Amino acid sequence: MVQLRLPKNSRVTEGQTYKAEGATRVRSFRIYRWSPDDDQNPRIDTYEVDLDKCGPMVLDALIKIKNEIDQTLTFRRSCREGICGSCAMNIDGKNTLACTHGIAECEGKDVQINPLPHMPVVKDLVPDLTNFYAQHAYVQPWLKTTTPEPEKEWKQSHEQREKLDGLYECILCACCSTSCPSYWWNDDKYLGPAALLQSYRWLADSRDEAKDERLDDLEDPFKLYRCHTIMNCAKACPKGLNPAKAIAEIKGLIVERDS
Amino acid sequence: MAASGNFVRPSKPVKSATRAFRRQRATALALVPLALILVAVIVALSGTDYETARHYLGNPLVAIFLVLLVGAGVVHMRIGMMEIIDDYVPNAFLRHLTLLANYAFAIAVGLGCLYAVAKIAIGF
Amino acid sequence: MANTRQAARPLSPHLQIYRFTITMAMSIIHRITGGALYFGTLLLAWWLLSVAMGPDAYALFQTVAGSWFGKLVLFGYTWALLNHMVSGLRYLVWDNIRAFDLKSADVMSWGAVIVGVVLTIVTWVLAYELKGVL
Repeated sequence: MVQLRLPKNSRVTEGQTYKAEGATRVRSFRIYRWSPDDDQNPRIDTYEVDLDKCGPMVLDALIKIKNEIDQTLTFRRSCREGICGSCAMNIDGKNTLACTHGIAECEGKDVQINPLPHMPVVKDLVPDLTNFYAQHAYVQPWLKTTTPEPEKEWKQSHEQREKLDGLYECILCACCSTSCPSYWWNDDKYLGPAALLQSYRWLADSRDEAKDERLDDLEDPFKLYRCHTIMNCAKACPKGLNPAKAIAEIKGLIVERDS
Repeated sequence: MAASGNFVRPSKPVKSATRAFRRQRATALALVPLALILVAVIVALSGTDYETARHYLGNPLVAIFLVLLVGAGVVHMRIGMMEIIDDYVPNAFLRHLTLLANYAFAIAVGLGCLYAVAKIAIGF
Repeated sequence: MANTRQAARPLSPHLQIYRFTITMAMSIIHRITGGALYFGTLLLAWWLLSVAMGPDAYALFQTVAGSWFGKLVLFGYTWALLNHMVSGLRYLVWDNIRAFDLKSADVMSWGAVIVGVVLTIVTWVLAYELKGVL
């Protein structure tokens, strides 16, 4: 049966609290911690942050904590402007990017920060994305053609190009896939919203000539049809894309082809 | 957890998955009016005596409605439960076993209902 | 494995921490009502079979169905059926690539909750009002 509870080694305990002495505008950040170097269960450490001395985004707070309070805190980050997808994590119960999510946007009293859900944890807020990338590779996200390559370029009308809007912008942050309960239970068989959105990005491309094979690769009970339109993916996407809609488009293409 | 990332390309597409998807939608559409009629029939017959209930359920139109309802309902519930099993039962052996039980349950309920409808309508 | 220094990677929390949304809630409710209706077909079968079998079998069904517990189950069955039906309409809309924007998705889902409850109440009021009409 599906396991709704966390395995024994994954249950979260209460950790330490780091006080911000002398600060007037304080917000507590409750952050998931786990280290592979000891045999302890994951814990939640609480860091008080002086908002008067911190940037506006959650990533600013994380960097401040790492620089000034606890250097062992581990997380991925790079561009700090929502284009690299590195700092994807679960903030305030929802997957998003720490760099584009304002501290003021967090609704709870404390800001709860966890790694992307239902993933193997490498350390603290860093999940292992190996399986996520394998799913991406499975959909063969590149142009596949059979006709001889044209001398200059593959041409596309403005209308044909417009069909790719809302699909090509994906930054592979994994917010969508790891927000999906269906993905949680079947991430070994279901491709998940991110990979399927990419699949549709090529299915919708007027230049691509491998549509049938692409659909063949998706047609079994699991890879595509585990999507039950829960809509968590679309709600989580920090780029405002809609994987649920792309998946519905694929289902439509397969139904049309098979009838 | 920690899936290996070994996604095997199917040797050929599994068309039955798409058939199930389409049938689930087709039966859903049919069941919208059928379910509303069922509610109406139950409301009309609630608390009535045996003769009245038998009289109305024996009406050919009602009997045809019940056959359609049971037919669409059994297919819809079988596919629906199959989806639940595919989602929540990862072990292949257990999955096939529960899928088999699902078939058996659907057939048993369907036959039971159809037998009753036929007996009421024709009166054997 | 005895020599590996690293502890086994934990699984990050999921259901425990994810903030429920109305579409997420309606999805699981759709599944639960569907499962209830699956076994609820036994009631339908019992009802039809009792009429087919004769007055005694029907009387037994009526006694059970008319008890407070029977009524509670029937009320739940009515709600499950109507909620599942209205909630299911959302999927038919979505399968036609409509109403995928987040606002429409939420409005449809809240609408399904409300319409499901209203239809259930209307059904039961009618059932009591019409008693003895036939």
